Amino acid sequence: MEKEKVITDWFYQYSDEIYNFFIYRLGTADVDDFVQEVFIRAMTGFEHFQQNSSPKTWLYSIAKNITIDEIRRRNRKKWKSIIPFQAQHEPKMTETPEQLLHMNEENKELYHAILSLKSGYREVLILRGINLFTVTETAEILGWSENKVRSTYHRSKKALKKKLGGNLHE
Amino acid sequence: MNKDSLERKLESMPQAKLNHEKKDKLIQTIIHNDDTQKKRSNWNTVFRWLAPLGGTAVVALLVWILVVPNFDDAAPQASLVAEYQLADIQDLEKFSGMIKLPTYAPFNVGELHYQELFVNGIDDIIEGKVEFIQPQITYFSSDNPEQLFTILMFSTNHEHLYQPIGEGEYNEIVEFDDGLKAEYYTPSEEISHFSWIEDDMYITLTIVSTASDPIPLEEVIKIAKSFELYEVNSENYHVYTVDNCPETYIPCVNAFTNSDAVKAFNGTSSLTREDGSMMFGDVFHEDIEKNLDTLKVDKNGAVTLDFITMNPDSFMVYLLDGNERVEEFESNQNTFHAPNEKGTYVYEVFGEYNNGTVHHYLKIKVK
Repeated sequence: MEKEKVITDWFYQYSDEIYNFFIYRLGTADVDDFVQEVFIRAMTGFEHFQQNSSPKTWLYSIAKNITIDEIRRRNRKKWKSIIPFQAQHEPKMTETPEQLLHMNEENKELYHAILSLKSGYREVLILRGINLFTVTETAEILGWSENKVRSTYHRSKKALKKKLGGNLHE
Repeated sequence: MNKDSLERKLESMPQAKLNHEKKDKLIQTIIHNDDTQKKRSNWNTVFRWLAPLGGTAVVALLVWILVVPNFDDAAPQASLVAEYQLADIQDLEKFSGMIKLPTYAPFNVGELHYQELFVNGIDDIIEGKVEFIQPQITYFSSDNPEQLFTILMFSTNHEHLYQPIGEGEYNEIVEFDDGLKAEYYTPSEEISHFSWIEDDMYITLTIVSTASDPIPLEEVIKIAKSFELYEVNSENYHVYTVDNCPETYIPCVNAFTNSDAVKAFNGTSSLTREDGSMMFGDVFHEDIEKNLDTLKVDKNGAVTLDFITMNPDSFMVYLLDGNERVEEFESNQNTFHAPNEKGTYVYEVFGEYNNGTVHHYLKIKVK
């Protein structure tokens, strides 16, 4: 019961943030199942959660792993038919992330520029730039060293600026 | 630290919220472990049942899980210097099929630095057209921080940017590689420039070294002669990336040299999955040898390990003779050096990760 209560608390506390993480990371609005999957995995692996660490970064590290699974699944579509769980992650809604997030033109441009970057850049930009995690927290979520977070974040901002060309208005 | 305008924009990106009804539905599903979880756990259950059993079935399953991703592809076709690091430069991809890069370097290359210069003014910068961009790549020595070379190139359409060969500043004109002519200019003992025109591109190779350990003209010519077409072909590139690493709880490691890259083979492992279940695996030594890709390296060349999905808390590198560890290697910032004698060598990289341990294996061929 204790476990259920903790997971329920975490769900109401962090599900919106994790929901947004998936929208930005995967470029789709249909991410409810992924949010659910994060908390199912957290429930199953609850005993392994280190009580002295942050539940938020732990949940995000699970979310990050789910995005990697999903990207891999997209790359290996041929496996789709034999893994029942994955079949339910086919898009079910027609609403786009832009509509869901009520983006203006400038936001849309930035969003698409982020999506066009490679995985590592995208992850660190979302976690550091949008979700405002610290370097230490980002390193914990991604399983990287803090130096790697710093240098990759720096490079990803540079790459993003280039993608945006002169369209980065003050 | 002050935030730049990009950071402020990122921070203010819109956020969506799950509505209450949806949240209640999701949490019910999570708590009551509905069909969704049952379907999902089919695969996990298989592992949970098998893992504690030990014996051949588990070994065979693990061999399949750990081996398949290692040998599903043919050996890499890397030939450009630091091709592995080049593949990480996303901005360079737009020049695929348009520019040439060296296949020879006079030292072991570690880091690369890439930047783009613009030919004209602000309009071209905004337009960002490839023909107005000059790619500049700097290759740093992994052994000597004071040695590097830089390549800068642009289309000969931009006549205002260069003078024809023989009309600029130079110490001597060097004829090389089927009649190509280059200006060789050494403004100081540490720096030399070698400029030539090839396939409608003006290329300048700038070499920096120390006065006590200069890079001679013969070596500079060797670099210039080695230029080959740069082409991005992800189909031919057979190393791990964040996106193709087979399972998120299994550490994926690549090893690369100046001109080659391979996946390291994952052998005996003991890992905890995200859901808490344990994965144990063992492989037979013959399976390891059989399934290793071979990394080509020069005598005493640098071999660098790249940990893709997770960094180890610690790792050790051993040279193997059969099953025996015969030598332990000091690894400095993920790099160790190959032996000085020709031959084929197998290494073990024992990595300790936050979710367990993995013995990775690597075969190198010293040319």
